Formats: sequence, structure tokens, C-alpha cells
Amino acid sequence: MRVVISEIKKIFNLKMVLLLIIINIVMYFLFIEFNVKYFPNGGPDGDIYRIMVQMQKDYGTQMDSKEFENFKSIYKEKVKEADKYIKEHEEFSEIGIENYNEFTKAEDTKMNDKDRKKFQKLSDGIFFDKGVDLFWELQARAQIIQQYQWSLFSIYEFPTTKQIARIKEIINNKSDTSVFNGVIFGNYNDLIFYVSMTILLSIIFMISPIFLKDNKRNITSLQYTTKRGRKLFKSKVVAGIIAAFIISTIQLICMFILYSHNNVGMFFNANINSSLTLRLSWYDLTFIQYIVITVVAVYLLVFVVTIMTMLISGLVHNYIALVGIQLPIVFLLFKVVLSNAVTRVVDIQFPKYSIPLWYVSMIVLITTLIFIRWRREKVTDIR
Amino acid sequence: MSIKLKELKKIITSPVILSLLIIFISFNFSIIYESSHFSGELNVLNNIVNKFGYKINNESMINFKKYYDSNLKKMNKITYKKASKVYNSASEFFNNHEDISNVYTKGDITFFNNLRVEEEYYYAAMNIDSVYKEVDPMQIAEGEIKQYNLRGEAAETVRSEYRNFNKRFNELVKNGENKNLFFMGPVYRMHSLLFHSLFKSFIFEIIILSVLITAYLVNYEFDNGTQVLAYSTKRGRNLIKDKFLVSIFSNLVVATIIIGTGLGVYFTTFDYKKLLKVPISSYFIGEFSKPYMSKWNMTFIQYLILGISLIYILTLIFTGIAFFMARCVKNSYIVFFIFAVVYASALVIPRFIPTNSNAVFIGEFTPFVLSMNSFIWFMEAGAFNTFKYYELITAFVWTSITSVASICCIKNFKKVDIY
Repeated sequence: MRVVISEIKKIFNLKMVLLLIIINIVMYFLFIEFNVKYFPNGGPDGDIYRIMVQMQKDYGTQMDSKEFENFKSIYKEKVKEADKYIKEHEEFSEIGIENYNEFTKAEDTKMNDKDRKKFQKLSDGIFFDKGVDLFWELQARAQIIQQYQWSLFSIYEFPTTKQIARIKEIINNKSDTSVFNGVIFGNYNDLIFYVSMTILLSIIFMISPIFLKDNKRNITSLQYTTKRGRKLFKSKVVAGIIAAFIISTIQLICMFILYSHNNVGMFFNANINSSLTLRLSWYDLTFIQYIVITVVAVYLLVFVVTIMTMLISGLVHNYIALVGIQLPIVFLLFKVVLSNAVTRVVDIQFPKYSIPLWYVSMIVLITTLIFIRWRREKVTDIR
Repeated sequence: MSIKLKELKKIITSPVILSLLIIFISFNFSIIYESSHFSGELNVLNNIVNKFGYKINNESMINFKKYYDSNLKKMNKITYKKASKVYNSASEFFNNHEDISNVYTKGDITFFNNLRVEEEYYYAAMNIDSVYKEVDPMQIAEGEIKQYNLRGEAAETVRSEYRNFNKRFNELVKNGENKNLFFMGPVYRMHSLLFHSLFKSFIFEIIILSVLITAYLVNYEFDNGTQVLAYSTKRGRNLIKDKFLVSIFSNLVVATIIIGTGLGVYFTTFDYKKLLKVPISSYFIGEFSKPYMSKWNMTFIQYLILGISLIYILTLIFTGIAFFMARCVKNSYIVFFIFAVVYASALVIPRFIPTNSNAVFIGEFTPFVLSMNSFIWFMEAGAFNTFKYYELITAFVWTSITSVASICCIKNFKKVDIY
């Protein structure tokens, strides 16, 4: 145990930790800041968020048909308010718009260029310059009503039989009426994606030198001759894994502290298979359960990447090779694995067991490799 | 001389750098391959240019129209014979037909499709004047100011910047630089493919390899524990000069290989031969709502050469920066990450500068920002990069900074500890 602690201390040396903090700060400003600072981001997302919170208060986690009628009647009342606004402002009648309905359809109706320009200016003025909340809110409400009425089948162009069965199941147990929205879901997915990217990058950065550093300083020949000898390899692997979990846990804690400012706690018990999210899952999960699953997925990835990094670290003989080999691997990892493996674990876009199978095969492969490496370590020559 | 060759050998025999080079080159090929499926359709334009030239004027348009009308007649003859129908245009034909493969032969359909493409070029060409009437640089300036929330003197700077550009814009329209045929921008996105996707990956690949090569060479002796021997000889401390020159040389070679193979395959896949002298401000190159407008009157080939030269200059600048970092930090692993962090922070830091002072523009004059937007080099490019000499100033200032820093590093190396 003492050796493991010393190895962990070696990993967390001051220079590396400082650079790690700087890397994290830069990653925060490049990718993460937007998802926590500007949520919900303007219109109509901000209005959708506000309406969803209100819905949650009024209707609970699900919205049945009666409540939906109520929701529609609120929309009609708001339309009347907008009609009144339009009547009060003469600019509208100048281009032949008398009520809100005509206003929304004005884009498609025929008018001459002069009127079209006037309309463009008017509509820009309402939405951007003056920022009339009412019009944004109406847009958001209309969008929610429309999405709520959509058939779930229209999400997928060519659904497989299993997907069809699952969609039917969702419709039968009414989880598609859940009060949950793609704005909230997408925000969390973006956040966890960039955070897991940052975590993996940090781990690769910190763990990479673990074997190479000793090899380069020729400490290994010294280590081999001690009583502990080759078993040190095991201690190093353990130290690497512990260090990786410390790093990722700290980062995840930071992320959830930041995320708590997004105020989405009221949706934790909502089913994620809502018709408003446009993404369906193989299981009936609540939002909080989904969050737990993604966190577990991140930890599994951390484990795989840590072992992989250590394998590479023991394989190469100089730092340039270390960077050179890691670069294409990291590129593939971020581009192919990470974009699907965390935020689409339970998505019905993929066959039910495909992504869990990815994880199983990755873990089996990486553990086999590390065992082979350990067996070779036991008999390797001292150079 | 032989020392320089030996230094070079360290790079050539490094399997990592070679395999990275191969991976990068094949990545570039894959970018080109993904878009290669429409290279056949591009030849329709080559055919038109062959017949009428790329300049759009009354004469060529009349000839084009005649040619188009005769082809339309030919099409209607075929459709009348096979389906007893007549069309006003080829696009009408494609809009109205769902199952064409049963009635017409493959040759017919290719002919119709080519006609549809010709038609699009013709009508777009007739429409150019009205598009440029709508473009008002001062309005673009106001839009940019609003978008980035610029105030005070910063907003004034953008306005004066665009007042200068306005003159150039009028000249551009007067010269008729916009009235030239080129591959249809909104459809094929050839400018983005070449100057954005491809150039950006060139630049990133060159940067990665430059940093690796420079850090590898400069810290080679420290990495291998030979510094005590190597630097204590008479030649010793001067080795750093050899290392510096060899890393510049090999980075330039790497850049040449990457750009050469990439562009070589690109221009054999897509036939540009007839279009090399088309002005880069041509209406057809534009891909989005706003056309591309260059700061000088340049042809496509001049623009391309200028772009490649700028990549070479960036290679030199980044080599200098990597050299400086590698001299400060002996561990080449750390050097790589420090470089990445500096690069990323150079993109982030300008966000924190208050938007009402001219300081907000200083952050843009770095090679890091410059390397991010290769597809709008030497063009109207938003509030921050439309300064007439933006690219040249950045290149010149940073070449000077890095050369001074490198010379200081070499001088300073004479006295450095070599434990």
C-alpha cells in the first residue's frame, strides 16, 4: 500500500497538476462554459424552459389528455393577447396583418418586395430588438403543442421491427406524455459529452508518463532488484487506476456543482421518453436514472482509457512516440467512441445491446492485454 | 554539413513521425474522397467554359442562351417521343417525374440532368446584378457590430475598416470581378472543401508535426542523456544552430509533402484547368447568403498560391514558437501540451477583452487565430479580420517576434547548464 501511495504521489507532481488545472480551465472556456452559463439560451429555448417548469408545477411528471386541453386553452388565451398587441400597433395593418394567425403565416403569403421588407423589419423588431416576450412564448407553446401531437414514428425514417415494437410499448404505457423537453435533455447531453472529453484528456495527460518516466531514468533496473521486484508493475497499475478515478471524480463533482445552477431538479423524476425530446430509449428511465447511467458509462470509459494509456506508456521509449501514438487514438476515441458511447447508451438508434456490448468487449480486450503484459513483465529480461 | 545530415536522419528514421505523416496524408485523401462523387457534374461547367469562356457578358450570355435553348429543344424532342410531354425547363421535368428510369435510357437522364445544371448556371448568372445591389458593406459592418456587441471606439474602428472595404467593393463590382463563371458555390461548396476542410487539416497536421519534430530535435540530447558529452565538445553549444536549421528545413519539407500530396490528389479529382484565372471574388464561389469578396483583385490561382505561402509562413512561425518552448522546457511531452494550451488560450482570451476598446482587436492578430480561418484569408471576413493588411501584419509581426526569440534562445544556450 505504501508503494501505491508513493506512486500516486509521483503521478500528482506539482508541475503536472498545475498544467492539468490550466488544461481544464481552457477546456472549460472552450467547450463547457456555454452549457452552464447560458442555459436556457435565449428564445425560444428560454421560454420553453419556463413553460416546462410551469407545466411541471401544474401537471406533475405527466400530462394527460385533459391537462393537454388545458394547455391548449392557455395557448388560445395568449393568442388573443397577441391579437390585441397587433391591433394596438398600426405598422401591422399597413402590410395587411390583422391578427396573430396572419402574422405567423405572413412568411408564406404573397406580398410585394416592399411589404416583405417591412414585415421582415417588423418581425426582427419584435423578436430581437424589443424582445417582446409574448411572441417568443407563443412560438414556444406552439412548438410544444405541435411536438406533443406528433407521432413518435415520425422520428425515425426507416424503423426496424424492434424499434417499432419499442415505440408501440412507449405509446402504450404513456411515457411519451412525460413532462420533459429536448432543450433540457440536449443541454445535459452536451455538457456530459464535453465533460467526459475533458476527463479523458486529463487522464491521458496525467497517466501517460507512468512507466515511461521510470524507463527513461533507468530506475527500472534498480526496481527489479528490490525484494518487491516485478510486483511493482501491479502496484503501478493500481496507482494509475486510483489516480484516474480521483481525477475523474473531482471533475464530475465540479461538473454537477456547475450543473446544479441550471435548475433542472424538478425534472429528475420525469420519464426521458417524452414526445418532446425526440430521442427514445430502450428502457423506461427517469432523468435522474439516465444521469446515473451516463456517469457509470464515463467511469467505465475512464477505466478502459487508463489501462490503454498505461499499456502504451510501457511500450514506447520516448516522449515523442508517446504523443505520436496517442494522437490518432485520441482522435478516434473522441470522434467515434465518445460521441456515441456516453450520451447514446440507451438510445434506440442503435440495437438494444450494441453499446453495452461495446463496453464489454472493450473491457475484456483491455484486461486481457494488461494480463498478457503482466505475464511478460514477470519473465522479461533486465536490460 | 554531416552534422546537419545526422540530425535529419534522426527524424527520417523516427517511425512515429513517419507513420503520423502517412496517417495524415490518408486522412486528407479521405476528405477529398468523400466529396469526389460530384466531380462528374462539375464537368458540365467545364464544358460551358470551353464553349463560351468564363467571363459573363452580353455576348457570352446570348451564346449560352442559344446553346441552352437548342438543348432544351432536343430534350423536348425526346420527351415528346417517349412520353408525349413537353417541358419549359429541365428542372420542371425533374420536379414532375417520379419514375423516370423506366421510360428513359440512362443516357437520356444524364443529358437531362446536365441540362438542368446548365439551366441553373444560366439563371444564376442572369441574377448577379440584383444580388450585388443588395450587398452593402456598411450594413454588414453594423450587423457585425451588433452581433459582437461592440461599442465606443471599437465600433468606430469597424466602421472605418468597412468604409475602406466599401471602396474596394465598388471597385470589385466595377471591374466585373463578380461576373465570372465558377463551380456553383451553394451546391458543391468547393471553396469550403478546398480552403476550409482541406487547408485547415493541412495546417493542423503541419502544426502537430512541426511541434513534435522541433521538440524532438531540440531536446534529443537531454532525452537520451547525451547532453553532457555532446555539448561539452568544441562544436558543442553550436549544435543548437544545426538543430534549429534542420527543424526548420524538415518542417518545410513536411509541409511540402502534406500540401503537395493533398492538392495533387485534389486537382486530379476535380478539374480546375479552365478556371484557374477566374477572379476569386466571383459570385459563383460564394456559398452562403453573403458572397466572398477579396481585398484585392486576385485570380483563383493567385489566391491559392498566396494561401499556400501563408501556410509556409505559419509553419515557420510555429516552428519558432515550438523552438522557444522546447528551449524553456526540457521535457518534450510537456512542451507538446504547453503548446496546445497556449494555442487554445489564444483563442479564448480575446473573449475577455472589453468590447468598447480597440484592444479587442489585438487578440486577433495572432498566428493561432489566423490559422483557424483559412477560407476567408484575404477577404471580407467579419468585424475582426477585415483590416486590409490583417494577414500580412500578423505574418510579419509574428515572424519578427519568433525570429528574435529564437536568436535569443540560441545565444542564451551558450551559457545554459547542461547537467
